[in-house]
Amino acid sequence: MPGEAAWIAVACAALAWEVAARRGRGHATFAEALSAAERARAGRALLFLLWAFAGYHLFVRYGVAPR
Amino acid sequence: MAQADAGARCRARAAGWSVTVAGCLAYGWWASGLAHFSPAASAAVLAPVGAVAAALALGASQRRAHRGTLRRVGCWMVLAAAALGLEAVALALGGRSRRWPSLSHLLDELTAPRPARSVAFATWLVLGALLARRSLGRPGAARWLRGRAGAR
Repeated sequence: MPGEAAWIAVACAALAWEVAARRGRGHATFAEALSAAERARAGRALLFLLWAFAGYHLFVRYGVAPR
Repeated sequence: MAQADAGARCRARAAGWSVTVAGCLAYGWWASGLAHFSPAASAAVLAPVGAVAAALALGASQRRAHRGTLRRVGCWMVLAAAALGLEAVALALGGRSRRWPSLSHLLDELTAPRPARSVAFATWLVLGALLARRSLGRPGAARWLRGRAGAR
């Protein structure tokens, strides 16, 4: 299915980038990127909004009833 | 002496994180049993959101990003934009489409059993605790906490 293939492609790209960054190609790893985003007020606000949206979306608005 | 102090600090930090993770798991187990779309489920999510928002507001000092940061993290921004775009398209198509499932739909299927759901909830809480903890270590929050301790 195209949607699932697109998600797998995004995950593979992220994994490849993380490996390249850890091999020292001058790019940030995921943890370094998060840390850099967290340093600035706008980045911190964005991370908070993403976190809050994910929680509300996954656990209140979207989820199925537990089995 | 300094080594013993460092060891004690390390043990205290590990104990603190163990308590935090255990608390998050217990809270996640309780919250994952609440009926969806209910006021109780909303309150269970909004309470930690409010706590983290307060921690972020307390530690609102700003450090400047290093020179060249944008170039180093550019690829992650592109990947995040791609994921958000994909999610937006999937949600616009109804969110539960078989051909274009949203990430939340995929996660929702994975976390349908209550134990998986409570672990997902606990993971979300721990991520919020990490965000709040880093913020509470900032000078603004440290000054406020010292002021509260001095007032007692």
